[in-house]
Order: sequence, then C-alpha cells, then structure tokens
Amino acid sequence: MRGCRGLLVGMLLIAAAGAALLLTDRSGRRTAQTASARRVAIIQASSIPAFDLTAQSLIATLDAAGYTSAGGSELKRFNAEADLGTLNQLCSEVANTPFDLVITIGTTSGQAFMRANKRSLPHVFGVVANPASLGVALGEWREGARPRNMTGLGAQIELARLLDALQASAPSVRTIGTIWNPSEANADLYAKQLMAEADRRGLKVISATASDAASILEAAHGVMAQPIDCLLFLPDTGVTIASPTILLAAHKRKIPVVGTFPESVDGGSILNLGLDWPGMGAQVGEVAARVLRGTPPAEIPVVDRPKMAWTVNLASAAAFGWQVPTAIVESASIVIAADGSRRETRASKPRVHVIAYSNAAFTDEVLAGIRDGFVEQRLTPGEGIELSIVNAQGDMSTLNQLVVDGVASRPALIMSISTPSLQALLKRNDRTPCVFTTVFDPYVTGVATAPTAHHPLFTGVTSHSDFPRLIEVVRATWPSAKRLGTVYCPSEDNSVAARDELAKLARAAGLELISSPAERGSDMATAAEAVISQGIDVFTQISDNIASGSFPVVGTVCERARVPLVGTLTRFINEGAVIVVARDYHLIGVQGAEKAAAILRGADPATIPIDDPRTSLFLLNEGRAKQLGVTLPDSFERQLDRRVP
Amino acid sequence: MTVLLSTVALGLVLALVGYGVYLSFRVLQFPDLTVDGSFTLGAAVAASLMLAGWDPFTATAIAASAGALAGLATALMATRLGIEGILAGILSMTALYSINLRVMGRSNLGLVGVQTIFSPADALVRQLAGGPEVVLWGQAVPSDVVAQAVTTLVAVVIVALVLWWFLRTELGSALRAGGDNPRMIRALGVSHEWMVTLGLMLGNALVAAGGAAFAQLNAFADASMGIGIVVIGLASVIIGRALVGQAAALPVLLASVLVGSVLFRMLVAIAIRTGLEPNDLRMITAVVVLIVLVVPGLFTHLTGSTLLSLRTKGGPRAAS
Repeated sequence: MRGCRGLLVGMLLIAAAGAALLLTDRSGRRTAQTASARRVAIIQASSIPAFDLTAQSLIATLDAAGYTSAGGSELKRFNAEADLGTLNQLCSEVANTPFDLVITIGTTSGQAFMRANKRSLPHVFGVVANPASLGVALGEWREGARPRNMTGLGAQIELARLLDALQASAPSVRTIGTIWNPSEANADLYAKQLMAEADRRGLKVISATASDAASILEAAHGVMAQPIDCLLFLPDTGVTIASPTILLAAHKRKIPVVGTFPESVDGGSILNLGLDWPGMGAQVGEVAARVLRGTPPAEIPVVDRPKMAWTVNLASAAAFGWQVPTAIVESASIVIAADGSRRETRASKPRVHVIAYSNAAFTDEVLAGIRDGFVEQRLTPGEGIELSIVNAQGDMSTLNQLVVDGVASRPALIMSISTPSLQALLKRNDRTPCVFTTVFDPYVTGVATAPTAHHPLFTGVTSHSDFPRLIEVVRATWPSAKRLGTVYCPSEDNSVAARDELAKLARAAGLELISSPAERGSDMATAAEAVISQGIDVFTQISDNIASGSFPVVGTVCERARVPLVGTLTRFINEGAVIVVARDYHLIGVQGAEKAAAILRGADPATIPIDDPRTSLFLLNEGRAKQLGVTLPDSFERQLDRRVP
Repeated sequence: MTVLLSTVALGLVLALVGYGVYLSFRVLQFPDLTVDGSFTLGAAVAASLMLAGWDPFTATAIAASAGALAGLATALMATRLGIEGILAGILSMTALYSINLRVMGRSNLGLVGVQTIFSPADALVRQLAGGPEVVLWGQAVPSDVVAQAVTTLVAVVIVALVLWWFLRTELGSALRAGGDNPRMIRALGVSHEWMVTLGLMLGNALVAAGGAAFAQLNAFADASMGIGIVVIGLASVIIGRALVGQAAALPVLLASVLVGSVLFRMLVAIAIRTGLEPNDLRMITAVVVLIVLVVPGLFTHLTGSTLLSLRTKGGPRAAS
C-alpha cells in the first residue's frame, strides 16, 4: 500500500523515541546526595513578569536557606511557555523524576502538576489567587480539604483595602471604570470581587472585557468614554502590559486612575496596592525550605496573605483634588511628591527583632506563625513592620552576642523563641518590650510568678504541653493502664518541670509515672529500656531538647517491647508514636504576634498576661494503632485533628 | 514508563484534533480556525456537565455535538453568507471565546475527584493488577496512566476506522472530491456547500471530543486551553504527511495523523528530558520537528524512493 514504508519509519521513530525515554527514565533512581542536598523542580506555565519575578526570588530564598548547587542541591526550572500540552508533559516528566519537592507558580501549572503527581511528591504552590481551584482550602489541613502532600500560598490582593483608600482619598467617587480579560482565571475572580465589593459600598462599576492584548486598549477607550469618576486597574496580565498606554489616554481625558500595579505610579496612577512579586517569591521559598527541612506539607497551613506594597502619586492626586490618607503615604514604598519628585521611601516602620536559639524543627513553625500572625494583625512584615530574625544555631555564646547586639540596635520590640533566648534576654534587656514564645515553663526562668505577675517588659506564650488532655486520652484509650513511663533530662529545667507536672497529673488520675534520666541522646535507648523494664503500660514521652532529637530511639525500643508510645511533638507521630497530643507551634507564633501587635499599638506589656497556647493537636498513627490493637473511643475519635496512615 | 505512557495518551488525544484539522485543512482545503474555540468548547461543555453530575461518556458525546454546532456556524457563514472561510473561522473562534466562558460560568473548572471516561478502565486495570500500580518492564506505573493510554488508543483507533469507512462511502467520497475539485462535484450535482458544512461539523466534533478528553486527562478545563491548538493539529498532520508522502493511500494517511501526533509529543518529551533551559523549550521543539520533517526526505532520497515530503507540492495529489 502506498506510503506504508513512511508509516513504518514513523513507527520506528516512535519506538526509538520511546526507548530513549525509557532508557533515560530516572524515576526510582536516586543519585548519592548529602543529607542537605535536595532536588527541587520549579514549574511555571508561561513567562510573564509576575511568574518570572516570583521564580527568581524564590530561588534566591532557597539559595539563602542553603539549597544551593554548591551544597549539592539541584534547582531545576521548567517553563511550558503558554502551551498546555507541553505543560502536561513537563508535569509528567517532573512527577516521574525523584524530586524532593516540586514548586508550581500560577494556577494552571498547579492544576496540571496535581493531576500528574501520582506519586504524591511534596508540592508547594504559589501565585494562585484562588487555591480552591486546586481543590485546596485555605487554612490548616483537614481530612479531604487538601491532599496531604500539598501546601502553598494564595495570592489574593485585598481589593477592599484599595477601595477603602480610594473612598478615603476621594469621597465623591461614585462610578468606577475597569477592564479585564475574562479568560484569565485570576482577573475574572477579581472582577467579580470588585463588583460585589462596589455593590456593597453603593459604588457603580462600568466595565469592559477584552480577550487579547489588541482589544484591551479599545475596551479601555470604551470605558473611559462613559461617565466614570476614576479608572481602576484590576490584576490582569494583558492590562498590566497595556497600562502605560491606558494611563496616557486617561490622562488626556482627565480621568484619575487607581489600581493594583505598583509600577503604574510613575505613569500617574494615584493609588496602587499591588503584590510584591519578589516578596511573594520569598514567602513561597520559605515554605519550600520548611518542607525541604522535613516539615510535612500537611502540617503547613495554606495561607492567603501575600506581601503587598502601596505606591502613591501625590502630584496626580493634587491635580484631581484627592487627599490621600497620611497613613498610606507614610507606608508607601514609592511616593511621587506634589512637586513631581520621586522618592522610594523606607517609611519608618517599627522593627521587630526575633531571636531564636536553635534550628530545631519547631523554630521554623513558630517563625511562620509569627509572620502569619503579624499579617493577620495587618502588620505584614515588610509593609507594616520590619522583621529581622537572628538564630544562634544552638550556640550559647553566640546567643548572648545576638542578644547584646539585638538590644543595642533598639528595635521597637524583641521576640524570643525557646527558653535560653528568654533567659539571655532577661539578663541583658532593660529597655525594650519583649514577647517570648516556646517556653515550657516561664515561671522557672524568673520572668514571672503568675500569668499576670511578670516582668514589666516581658510577656509571652508558653509551649506548655497539654498534659491534662494527654492524661485524658491515655485513660480513655487504655482504661486498664496503671503505670506510665518517660525519659527526662535532669540538667534541663524545662524537662524536669515537665516530668514533675506529668507525674502530678498522672497521680491525680490514679496513675504512676516511672521516669528515667538521660543527659545525652546516646543515653536515650538505655533510659527508655530502663523505664520499660519496670513494667509500664504506656510510654508517654515528654518533649525536651534531648527527646526532641532522639525520639526515634524511644520509638524503636517501644516497638520492640510492644509498648504503646504517646508523644508531645507533632512530628513524633511519624517517629514511632501511636498517639500525639502536641502543641501547635505555628499557633504559638501567631499568638506571640498578637501580643507583639498589641504592644506596637501602644499597649503596656506589663498589662498583657502570659498565655498557654489556645489549643493542642491530637494525632493518630493508624498503622501503629492497628499493629498494637489500639482503638480510640468514639468521642475521642471525633476529636482527632489528623490521622497518619 | 509513566512518562512514556502519559506522552502516548496525550499524543493520542491530540490525534483527535489532528483528525479534525485533517478533515478541514486537507480534505476540504478549508482553513478552519474555529478549532481553537471548539477545542475549548468541548472541554468546557464536558467539564460543566460532569461537574453537574452527568455521566462522562454522555458529557463527552454532548461536547462533541457542541463542537459540531460550532462547525455548523462557521460553515453557514462561509457557505450561506459568503464570508471568506478563514474569516468565518475567526468569527466563530471569537464568539466561542464568550460562549465558553458562559458555559463554564468562570474561566477555569477543576475536575479533581470527578469520574472521567478513563475511570472504568482505571477500575479494571486496578482489579487486574490487584492495586493502584501496574508493574511494566520492572517499573511501577500508576493504574490510571495505563488506563488513559489504553482508553485513548482504543478510542482513537475506532475513530480512525470509522473515518476510513466514512470517507470510502459515497458521501465520504463526495466530501473528498468536494475538497479536491468543487467545480467537478457541482457538475455532478452534489452540493459543495453541504459537503463543506458536513466536513466542518465532523471536524469540529472531533476537535471538541479531543478537548473534552484533554480536560479529563488534565483534570481541569481552562478558557485559554485552545489557544494555538490548531497549530498542534497541523503539526500532527504535517509530520504524518512528511512521513508517508503526498500520494499515500487513505488508511495510511489516516494512520499517519495518529503516528504524527504521538511522534510530535514524543519529541517534545525528549526535548524536555534533555534538561534544556526553560526558555529554549519551544525553539528546541521546533528544531526537533524540523529534523523529523527533513529525515524522511533524506531517507527516501538515500534509498532512491520517491521523495516523501511536503516539498512535493507539485507532485501527485494525495488520496484525499
């Protein structure tokens, strides 16, 4: 038959291409890597400034976190250049390569990778205005709300803030004009939000849609020909590109412009509240670094609080008789003054200095909580406050130096993470308000004698374990249990205090606590075996600096002896514990930021009580439970925050 | 293996677009740009219906019917209103942009966790493999990837066979003749306009079915997913044609579209695998496709056979 030979050639080429793909398939093969060396893939669907700037910044952040090529890590970028078929193939390729983490930038790349990610590689997404479009709900992980391997950041611009500023600057504005491309998922979302928000405020919106770059200008002219009081730029790729031309046209028609592109300030746009793309990249990079350090994505809440930046053109404002609120002018990153001069301001934002003692896993979680807490308090780091962070990396002499330097630099407020940081601060700080976090028992440090009776400059949030709940869970799950066991560190005040408190509560519940000391990680196995040899029913391991690093040893000893192990740190659930009742370190950070925000707003730290964390997390390892035949009572089953298979 | 099968499945789905483009561009000689809109229309209709609880096969069939209606609109503009074919296609494509947004209600619909046309095959593969993974040549492959490859292969082969049968019927012969020589078939008393209408409806139905399958493969439908799809369809047709030559027999031509589409995606996969700079991807893809277009010509030149490439434009006409 005519052409058969060519068809045969085609099939041979397919076979050759298939063989080439199979032979170069790296799935399941892993090259030797150092402990900190990681393979990270970054996928973007196309090249637009938002994606490119985000990608560059997140790579820089990962570099700074130590994930550099010099350190053996591999950061590989993929760009489908706006072709969905290619994006699909890129995602399949990445999903079948042993990457330690995949970062997607933008909604479509996130969706495409989700579909391809059959092996559940850890997946961090960024620049997704509506994470729900990925089937991912905002907030903490809940069963079914998002896949366990995913976390990320929403990129929602707060149009309400822009409208607040617009109405405060020009109360006479009644009709707003806008243009957007309805095929851009994000632009479409913002347009609907604008309509709803304007409606709520009694404002009228005159809009036009444009399907491509060529028709955007026509649409803009169409809108500006109507009786609008101002033009508002929504986040839209096409409008971003055409904005300089539209601004010129608006200027000729004497129409004031506000919007969501910070750079438009130079073209005469009066008020601009936009995403800080490099800032967004840095935030995504920080989340990615946490995952690379070992925090499961399911334990990192999906937040929707991007870094924002104001830019203000007072010259244009004066031309239209607008009065931009002073607070916005002061916080703006770029201000075009009434005389036309341009200044990139570093407005005098209060500086919060955070001192961490070590790189323990909880430090990252507390830091993330502090950042998120400040954003919740509308004091976004970089926007409302300056946030500086130092870490002594477990070295006490460095910690002292950091404390001295930190106090001398006269920040508006100091926050500390862990007990040694608080103790060093107590000794060397006599002028700066301090908020401490992650201190098991602040009362043994001398900072306070009661929640409301504390040092006038110091307040904070403890990391006091939820032992009452732990005892309650143990009693309900093992009703016949009589003896509990734990290992503690005699030279660590927190550890001794925790052991004593657990013993006291156990006694009150009719249980006996058997404990054994361990000064070093290497003593942990012996100490755990000593405890088990005394015939305990449940091993309830407290968390201290020794147990924090050596918990898997306790897990192994308990597994060998078939003794159920209950832990007090979330990651213990993957290290041998069958049940964990733990403090949520992210929440501790958030609570710390709440107190810090109150002080920055003028509250006296002496009047702010010391608090325990508001809630604790209750986790179950189903695999271990099955092995040990552990069944939770129904009432406790319903309280579970997470099940680990 | 997973990448290979995913690539094959994608190539096969896009072969449906290739068949649509083949019918309009090659058989009818009609430069139909409706394809960019009808591909998204298929995805939009199928995704909306599936999210509303419709059976995925029914949703895909309705999506294909919607594509046929889009083709009908273009054909009516071209044949009844006397609008230039390329302009009629552009008008339809432009209108479909708004229609697709109307159909979806927003610009992006996620299909995570929704039953698709691949689900029954997935369930079967899981049952046969006794778990969510199948071991092929020593490599574990997710069952749904195997299911997608098998389902698309069966579906596309059936489409090719049906097309082969149809194009050999009296009506199909008239359709092919209408593209080759409109004056002749008019002289024979066949309505050329009706042939154009039928061809565009059929072509866009195939493209829309491709869009519906693509959305189910990707687990989302997006308003911009059809942009440039006509080029991908053409690439499949042209690569296939470059392999088999202009004068190939009809079944070989139809098979060449399938081979061309799969080969194109394979080459893109290899380009990705080479680990090139992200911004160079399209250029490398173009270079690789260029090589494929040239190699068959060199092959036939060296073996002394007829030159099998598009360069033989003046040569004997294709069986289409």
